[in-house]
Amino acid sequence: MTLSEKNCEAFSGAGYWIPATLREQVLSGAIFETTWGLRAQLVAPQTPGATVATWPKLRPEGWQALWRGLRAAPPLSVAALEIALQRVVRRLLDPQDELHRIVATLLPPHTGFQMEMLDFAFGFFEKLPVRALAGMVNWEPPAAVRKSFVQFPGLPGGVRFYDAAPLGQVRRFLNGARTHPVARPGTLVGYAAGNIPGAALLITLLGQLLHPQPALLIRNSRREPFFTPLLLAALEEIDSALVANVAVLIWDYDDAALQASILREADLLLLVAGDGTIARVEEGVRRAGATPRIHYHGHKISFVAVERSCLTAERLPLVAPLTALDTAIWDQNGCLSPRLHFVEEGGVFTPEDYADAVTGALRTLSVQLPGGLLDLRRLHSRFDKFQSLAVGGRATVHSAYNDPFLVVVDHRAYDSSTLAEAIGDARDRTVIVRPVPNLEAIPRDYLRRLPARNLQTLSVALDSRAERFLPFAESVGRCGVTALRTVGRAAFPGLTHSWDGLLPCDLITTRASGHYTTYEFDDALTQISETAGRLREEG
Amino acid sequence: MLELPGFYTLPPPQRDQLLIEAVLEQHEWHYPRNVAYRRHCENRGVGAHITEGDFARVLRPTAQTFKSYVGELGTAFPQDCPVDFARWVAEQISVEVLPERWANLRSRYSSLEALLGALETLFAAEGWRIATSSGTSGRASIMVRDEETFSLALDSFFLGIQHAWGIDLDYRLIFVMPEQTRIAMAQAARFGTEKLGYAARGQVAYTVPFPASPDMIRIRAARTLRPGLRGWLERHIAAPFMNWMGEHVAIPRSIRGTVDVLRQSAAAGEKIMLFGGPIQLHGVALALRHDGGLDLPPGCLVGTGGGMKEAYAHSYTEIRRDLAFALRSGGQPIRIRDVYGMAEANWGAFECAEGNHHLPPWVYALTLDAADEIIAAPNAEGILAFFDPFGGGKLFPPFFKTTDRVHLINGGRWYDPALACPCGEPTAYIQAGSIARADLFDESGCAGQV
Repeated sequence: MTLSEKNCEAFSGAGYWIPATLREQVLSGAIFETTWGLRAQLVAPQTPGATVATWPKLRPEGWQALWRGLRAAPPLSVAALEIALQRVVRRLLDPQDELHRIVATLLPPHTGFQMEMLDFAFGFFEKLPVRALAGMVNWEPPAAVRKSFVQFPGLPGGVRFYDAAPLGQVRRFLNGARTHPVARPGTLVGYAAGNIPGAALLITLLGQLLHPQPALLIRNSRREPFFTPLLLAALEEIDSALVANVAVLIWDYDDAALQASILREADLLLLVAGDGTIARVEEGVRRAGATPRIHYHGHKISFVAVERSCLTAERLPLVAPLTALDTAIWDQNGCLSPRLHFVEEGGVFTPEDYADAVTGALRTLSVQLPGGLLDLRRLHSRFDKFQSLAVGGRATVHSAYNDPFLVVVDHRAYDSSTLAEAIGDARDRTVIVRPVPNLEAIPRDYLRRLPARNLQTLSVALDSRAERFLPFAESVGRCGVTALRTVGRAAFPGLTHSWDGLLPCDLITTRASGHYTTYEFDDALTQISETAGRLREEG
Repeated sequence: MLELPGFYTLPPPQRDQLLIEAVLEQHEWHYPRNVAYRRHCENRGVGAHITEGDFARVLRPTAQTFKSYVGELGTAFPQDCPVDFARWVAEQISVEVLPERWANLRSRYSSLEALLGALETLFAAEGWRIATSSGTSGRASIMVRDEETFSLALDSFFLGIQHAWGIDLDYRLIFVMPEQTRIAMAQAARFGTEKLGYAARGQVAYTVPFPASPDMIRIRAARTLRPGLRGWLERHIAAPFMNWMGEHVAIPRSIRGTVDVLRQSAAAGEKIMLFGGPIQLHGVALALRHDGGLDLPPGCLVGTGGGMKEAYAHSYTEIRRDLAFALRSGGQPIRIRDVYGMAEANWGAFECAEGNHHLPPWVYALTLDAADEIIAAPNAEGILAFFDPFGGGKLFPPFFKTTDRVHLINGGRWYDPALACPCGEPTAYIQAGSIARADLFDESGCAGQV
């Protein structure tokens, strides 16, 4: 784990990871490239303030040695991995630790995210239930999951499967189509997005849940190249067997021969990337004549739903800081970041009161978690736009021009293009509150108008013990939403549950096309209280 | 008050100081008179008196200011609510318009063109001319100019053409655009040539043979259509028909007409300036090239403007190359120059021989960074913003931020002689090839793979 200074100004770090035992042989004769990054943009060399990621272009012999080495790695213990990960995360959160110092030097300038935000978010990895996750790989959902939500064994929440195939309904009655085991992937190739740090690490952890562990090669993002290599290095310091089967590299998509050779090695492809990248990789698979199974995690959008039962003097002070957090985290750059906040009318407090409460919460959060990747010019432009709508009574603006966020209540009539425009506007910490007469209007009037494949999380503040909850979950799931989480947890998914419609068991089974929708709580209100309490403690 | 031509001889430091003082004065004049501008300032905590430090806050976005009727009225079709639209117009301008003035408006007009025409008639005494942006999104910016503002705009454009490109009263001006349209650039061409006598002397030709009303442009683009059956007819009947007509009738006739006028001018030995959008001019270039090109007298020029708004198979560079191949002037490849501007601006930035676009010296131009703050440097890359206190007229405060990212040299009051354009013009300029539309709605979420 090293940090070097280039040209007396720019800090440099490795944008790749290769296990120590393989490094010398794999890197023999490799040419090293550099990528300069500043605020999530690739920039010209020597750009002031930029940081530099180095990465190797391997020779063919190097690639052969890499594949050979990854496949010959010793097995690892998932329990040991969980313990080691917790130790590494504690180092990551310790300002006195070298790991924290390096992360604090490289990531904020390269990604644009402030260190306060990174520190806050890294806590997520500490609580990652690696062993529970490994247990879930072997859990096969019962056939009943095709008809209604089914409780998870030993975990909170429930799961439901929606069959996308035309014959799905028939199969449901026949109860014939279930999951089928497939050969465990010997080689897993991942593509990691760089919009937030850690996508490559998540892919790594998923791969490590399998037994035996596959050879894992992950294509790193130049937009955020440092985080995963740093953590893998830290894990290796504890026990080299924990990461002996993992390599994280950057390679050019335009190198068709190399791309094809990598894709031909893969039994399973895990694509956590933009839709454009996914299309390019799919084209590469076709051209290479490769036949891996593919798990897609493409461009996604998420929302918030607040039930009127949460708009009370007791609950609103709990809910508002949490939905504010969901909006603020990663400066609304994540697939889990909510776009619209649907707020049910008819509560003690109104959607306008909710907007006021979120405004107050965001003012506090903006100090604790200052924005880094916000485009204030764009935010101001949006402020002007909603002020203009406010003149005609079609919106109310709750935040001020000087606030590094925007909170509005949008009263416009929505057609499909207005809905798309509003979703596009919800960036740079923009909260668009959308009053709805009842929760049922959310799937009926909004989610159904959106492409199901792009829907992801619905963060909810509601009473999950009420009768209306399961029918509501059923209908949003049918629209394509794959996860219902309580507010404040949007950016911290429980990987034991559905991730973009996939469950851990999908790593080792096949099934009909479709998606799993899960909710991740037994009692939403209790979980909201817990999250709010934790946020207060950390604040 | 200094006339526009006088700015060409002012030394930069003196000029910039004069402009700053004029902006401060203009703010104080507009603030109490202009409802929309005052609202904009109040939302930002800016009052009646400002300092230079407030400049970034009084700028209004070009992409929204004169399009705000859509949000305020809740419709992209103001012809359905003429009185509300008139009220909106009244709030945008810095003169008092009593509601009685629009009392005679009908409750509905058949088209936007009909409504704008009715307003021009109602306010003929003030010399109102209503211009629109190209409106390809179907939601056009709509700007009112009174006689003084309009006259200043014409002076500004034609002074720029003369100063930057040497186009004087001897030239024949050929515009590959319709004569009857509200698109700001074409409107300026039409009325400017009338004002300066080109039209009376028969030195002007418009070679797009059909008018282009805002409604026609909207329907043809098919991005904002009327609701219900009318919208269905627009989408499935009118738009395809108009596009077919454009492709098979209007464009071929326009190309033929332009080529004919060019040949007549070549035969008569007339100096010409041919001006139009790059895509329209490309058709002319290809037609001429097919016939072996055309030799024109020395001093002729092709002017392009409006940028590439539609998807097109050829790049702007390829279009220029084809134009240079098809047209010669005095035996040399013809001069080709671009002009950068926008409907909301009363000025154009004319390209010099070095490929840089020069802003007029009476415009105080600068750039904004990602934090929406002014970049205080002579060599700055950011969003272009401008104040036009002398050429912008008094009907609305001409203080705008654009949606274009540019590399601006010697903007604001940060003039550095060492960075002056090699062409010798001591004004702020946009560096060659640096104009890019800022991406307002790029993809967020898991799209970060690079």
